[in-house]
Amino acid sequence: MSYLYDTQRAMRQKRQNALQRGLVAVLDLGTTKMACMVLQFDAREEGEVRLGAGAMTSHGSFRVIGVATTRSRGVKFGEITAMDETERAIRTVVQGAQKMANVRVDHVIACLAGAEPRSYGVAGEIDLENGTVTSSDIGRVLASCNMPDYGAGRETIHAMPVNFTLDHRSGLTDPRGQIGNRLSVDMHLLTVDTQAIENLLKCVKRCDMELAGVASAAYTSAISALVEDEQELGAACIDIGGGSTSISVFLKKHMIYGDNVRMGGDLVTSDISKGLQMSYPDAERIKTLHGGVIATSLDDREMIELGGNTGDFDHDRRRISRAELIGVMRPRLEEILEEARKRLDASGFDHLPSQRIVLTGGSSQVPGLEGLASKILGQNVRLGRPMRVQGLPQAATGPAFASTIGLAMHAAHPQDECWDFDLPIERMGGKPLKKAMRWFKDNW
Amino acid sequence: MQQVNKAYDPAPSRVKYKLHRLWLTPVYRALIRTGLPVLLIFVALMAWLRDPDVQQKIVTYFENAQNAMEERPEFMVQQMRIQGASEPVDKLVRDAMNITFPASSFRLDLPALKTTVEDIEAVETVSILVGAKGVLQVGIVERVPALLWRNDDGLTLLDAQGVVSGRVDARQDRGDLPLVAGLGVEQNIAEALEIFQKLAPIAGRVRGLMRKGERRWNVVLDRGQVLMLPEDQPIAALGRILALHRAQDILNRDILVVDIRDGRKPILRLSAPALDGFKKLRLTAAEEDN
Repeated sequence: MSYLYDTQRAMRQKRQNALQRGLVAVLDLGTTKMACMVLQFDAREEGEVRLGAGAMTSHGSFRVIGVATTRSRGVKFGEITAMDETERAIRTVVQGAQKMANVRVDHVIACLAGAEPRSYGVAGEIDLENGTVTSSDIGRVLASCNMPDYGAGRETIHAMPVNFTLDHRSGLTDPRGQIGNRLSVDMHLLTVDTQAIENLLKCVKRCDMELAGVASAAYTSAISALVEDEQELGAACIDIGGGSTSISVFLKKHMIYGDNVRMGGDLVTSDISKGLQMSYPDAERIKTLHGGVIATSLDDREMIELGGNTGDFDHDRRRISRAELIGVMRPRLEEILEEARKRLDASGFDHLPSQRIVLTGGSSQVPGLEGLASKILGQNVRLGRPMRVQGLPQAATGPAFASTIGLAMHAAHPQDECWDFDLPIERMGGKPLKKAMRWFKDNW
Repeated sequence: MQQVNKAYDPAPSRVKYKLHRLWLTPVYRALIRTGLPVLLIFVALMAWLRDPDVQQKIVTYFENAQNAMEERPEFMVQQMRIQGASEPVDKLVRDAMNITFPASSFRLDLPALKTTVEDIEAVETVSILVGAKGVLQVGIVERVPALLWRNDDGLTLLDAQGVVSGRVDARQDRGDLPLVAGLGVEQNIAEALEIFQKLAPIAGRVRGLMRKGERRWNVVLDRGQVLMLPEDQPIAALGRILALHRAQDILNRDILVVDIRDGRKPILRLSAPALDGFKKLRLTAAEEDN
């Protein structure tokens, strides 16, 4: 537990230091596109009040001063597979964003879609010493959580106390100062592959920048695509990206489940490419221009020129009806949604008070997907676009940028303030001098 | 038909990327955008200025410019007009100032000229200014000589304050001025002038005043007559002598010296023939009496 504490605090510290300088870049490593935004943090509102423990850290408003996107290279299923290629893509996108912002950024916060995220719910419970919850009690209860054995080669990237319970009262977000005897906490852990993070770290380092934080794309896209009451009452965000589909469930403004399906829009494109025997770029073009999931009688008559560059006239002049295209796309999208459904079922999404499902991500723009999703996922489905952010160009406001924008919001309003609380002395491990200092600090 | 294109990589090379980041660093940016051009210009300028010919040219250029400015007709002084000076003083002043016309008014050092002119004995005060139409106006107040003083150096003119105001070669040059002689005259000019004023009734006979022992006056008349005045209140004593002269016409008699140094009563010294005559007269008178 001490290890978790240290890593979480180190991560938080790093991000704070980066934000202190007022400039930070957020980098979304997607499978189809990479996006980089340069954020400028300036107006720090002192009296900003937020729910939870948020008042402790108010990195006021930010402004997007540079945005660049490029086609992703070297990334498969949201993980880095070719370091050199990825590095080049990062260079392209970072240089573009810097050029637009006309500043140099040294710190970057990145988000990863893949890397096999796994969710764990952990709980901790302590007896209060003097009947009132102090901040060190919160540290103590966080430290008392028994860690699940998530195996070697895994790293915790999100660890958030979702719920505090004081005696029989549950649903507290900030129990400090309240009176009770037993304090317990429910915490959500999200672990990812260490290797994926290390690869990312290396790529960023080779681009002369420092990685100031890592977030899961499942988490960040939900932050930007879910509206506040959805986050509060319970909702699932399904970010259907190019290479992978991220699923996250929110309750009480905290992520309580995050997962990833290694299927996405690229699979649909490759289906079209294979099924209709056309090149991958042509398939992508036809998918985005004419794609759909629900065929009507009109679609039988709408003929699509497939195009091609093979030199074979008959092959290059083929035409298919839109219904045929839909026939290729629909099964794959159904499969993706069904897979997402399975994950949601496994997470216990059924038991949430509100079962709103929000679809976002680039592939959610397929016309009619909403109707298809409501058949598979339930009636309460909507398409989500990311929230508006100051300074963001129009071109970067689509659902494909949900996780990028969410990452910016995560950088501005992180939800891990709880790790600021000091670890109780008995759990600090063998550092006598530090212990003595702490004892003096606590008792004088 | 598919074209075989060379693969285009939109990614910047690592060097390009780093240079771009360097360029975005404010310090380097300022250095390259302002520091470097300034340095280059500075170096070029210095290299150019190191050449002595260039330095000479620059100096000449600025000197020429200055000359051209100073020698504009507006600033030139064409002539000098001296006011309030007599002929000889005028000449002295012109010689002292020694200006060749036309001269630029920038090069005239008026305070220095003023002191030069004021050093001339005959000049009491002077005002010099560059007037309209390039005329140097010199206003002079001359010292008015009141006395002629004969001393070891010759004949000197003294004004009423006892300041030397010129020299003359011969007594006849300034026959109008009374003559004084002796040491310590300068300090007692006022007294001397008063005595001369008092001597007005016998002005035709007065040769001059002689300072004796730097403390009292002798009036020298023609025929070698001397009036010895006291140290204190010489005017009153002189008045007494003149009263005596008016009453008894003593000064026309054969008297060498009228000595009134004691201030109250004059002592007369007769010339030798007069004394003989006087003795004879007394003898005759005694014989007649007898």
